[in-house]
Amino acid sequence: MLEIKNLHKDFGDLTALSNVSFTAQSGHITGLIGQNGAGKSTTFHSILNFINYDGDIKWNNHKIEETDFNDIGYLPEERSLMINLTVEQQIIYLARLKNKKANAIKAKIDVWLNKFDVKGSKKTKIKSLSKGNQQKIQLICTLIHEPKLIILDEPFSGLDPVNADLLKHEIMLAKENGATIIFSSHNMQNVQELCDHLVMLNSGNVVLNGNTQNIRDSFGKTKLYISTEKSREELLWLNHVKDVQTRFKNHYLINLDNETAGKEIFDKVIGGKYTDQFSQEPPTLDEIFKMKAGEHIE
Amino acid sequence: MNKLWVIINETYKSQLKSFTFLISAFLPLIFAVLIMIPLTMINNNENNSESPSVALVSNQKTVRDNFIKNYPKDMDKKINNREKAQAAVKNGDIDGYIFLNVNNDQVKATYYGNDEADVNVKTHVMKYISLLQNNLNNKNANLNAHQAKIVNTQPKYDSIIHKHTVQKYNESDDAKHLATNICIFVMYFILIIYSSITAQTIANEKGSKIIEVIFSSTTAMKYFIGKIIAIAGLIMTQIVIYIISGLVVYQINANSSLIKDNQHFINLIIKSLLGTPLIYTVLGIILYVILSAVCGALVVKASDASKAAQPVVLISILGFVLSNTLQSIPNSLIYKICSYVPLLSNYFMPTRIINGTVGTSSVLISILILVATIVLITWFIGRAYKGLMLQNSNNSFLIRLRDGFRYK
Repeated sequence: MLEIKNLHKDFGDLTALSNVSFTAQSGHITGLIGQNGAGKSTTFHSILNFINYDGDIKWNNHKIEETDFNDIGYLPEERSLMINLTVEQQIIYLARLKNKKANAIKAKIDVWLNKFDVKGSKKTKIKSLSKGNQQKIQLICTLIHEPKLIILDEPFSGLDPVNADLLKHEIMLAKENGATIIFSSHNMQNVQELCDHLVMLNSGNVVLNGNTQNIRDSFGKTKLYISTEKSREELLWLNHVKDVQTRFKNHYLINLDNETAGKEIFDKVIGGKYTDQFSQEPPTLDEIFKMKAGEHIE
Repeated sequence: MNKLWVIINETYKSQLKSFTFLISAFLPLIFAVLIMIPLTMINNNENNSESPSVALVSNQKTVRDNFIKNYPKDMDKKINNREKAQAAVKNGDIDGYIFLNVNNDQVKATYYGNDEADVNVKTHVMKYISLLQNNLNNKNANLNAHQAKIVNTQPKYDSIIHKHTVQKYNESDDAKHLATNICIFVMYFILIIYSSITAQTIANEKGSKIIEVIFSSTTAMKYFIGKIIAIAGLIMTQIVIYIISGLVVYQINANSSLIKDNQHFINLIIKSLLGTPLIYTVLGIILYVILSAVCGALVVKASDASKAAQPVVLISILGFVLSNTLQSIPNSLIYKICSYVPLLSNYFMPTRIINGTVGTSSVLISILILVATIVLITWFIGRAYKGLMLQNSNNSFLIRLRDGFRYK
């Protein structure tokens, strides 16, 4: 378990983090979201002792020390590998720095290359690989030593949907194995799919912190997906409707001013008739993100 | 310890296979081989030119055989009778031949040829026929053993040389001068290469951000020390390659006249270079390598890596030029001061040691200052290394250096 309490960091006159507190549980995935410059990387750098900070960061109830580095898997935001090494040399070197035996890692390399569908062999030089495949190698380097604390800074950037799914699968496996996973992403879809816990930073302040579903629910089920033969204009005249978007023919997304209005609309629009869609949901993380970021800008 | 070893191992191996190392380690060897080839050819030609161009024939086979046995290089061994000798002279295979006629009371050598016989050959033949003639005379005079001994007593010539009065040419001074120049040049050469290698390696790591992954696995101090040890090992490897190459070249040419004629001179140079000057070379380079690492860590972009070592290279050039300029006054105060100042002492003190103008205690103090500087700078930079590597400000070199040390 990773506990962060009152984390504060100033860079000169700039306050990068202000009293940031959250907990990332073992066997859970915590998403750290926020706009560029919100303080996500600074939080990661604080956890990894790259910078001095005020406040407390505890891993399994103690300060992170050198011995804990062996249990950490870190993927930095900017991709970085030693391009003159072969895939095997690179993976083994970084794993040995995590106190793993070269032979033990060597035996697993092919399995991991297959898992991530890397186009190239373990004897291929890193510089010969495509950008996407280099990123996969870096992900393998982050995960192959089976870390207990996994920190991923923008792990999905540059991955196509197929490869993003491969990574999601591995993250879920690590979670099942009890790892504490914390990652940042600008892709709210991925965050929504993966995260048990969500922390949103805005200008160094925590503006959201809690269970992902609870956070969404706290915004109320104000989004109504509906299928009806009524026109968009007719729907706009209904009470409690803020706006209506046409998704495709006879399918609309209605934004309500409160979630209790859903029943009234169901009675008026659907009544006793058949419909293939009537679903009331909370806002997506993307919308919540924009909402929260917008609040701060205002 | 294990992680330190992993860092040393990886850095050492990757640099050992690098193009820069291979070139710098083996280029002098390639030059040595290139120089050896013409030398060997000249040597062979000398040997060929010394091949016998004269034959010796005699009316007594044992007389001829004894001469050839005593002076195997003087005569063509294949030509053993007058007919063959005459034909060989006619064909131009040999310059001439000597006919050695031995009868009961007279030994007579006659040379037949197109050119004069070599002076050495003539001397050897004269010495040999004198001996033969003496033996013949003794025999014909019916001398007993005692009388024969008296008659054959030779005069003696001894030489007693008082060394302190006959030093008209001091070979030792020339050897020292050459050894000093070799020492300074080799040090400068290796230093420039390693300053560049170190700064570029570290700048590339910083630029690629792999350093963040590494710092999430081990401490910056351990990583820095590992890098420095690996590069020091690489320097030692290069010096060992130079020494072995030198020995191989020396052994191959051990029989050449160039080596034989200058054996004492060469031994003096080798003696001057090995030992304390070698220690200065290694320690001096390590100190420069540490500073180069700092320069590499201060680079903002990986593309600037090639320029990273410039400040260190400039200091190195200053040391090189100063030591060369002041070489003629090794007893001057400035020379003495410079031989204690880290970054300069590695250029100045070896010269004083080679020239024998400094005592053991002064050398020890200078080495202690150098070692203490290396340890202190390693510790100091090791502590600040994380800051130097992780800070990315775009300011001037000195401000980046300050920010790196202040990085929190």
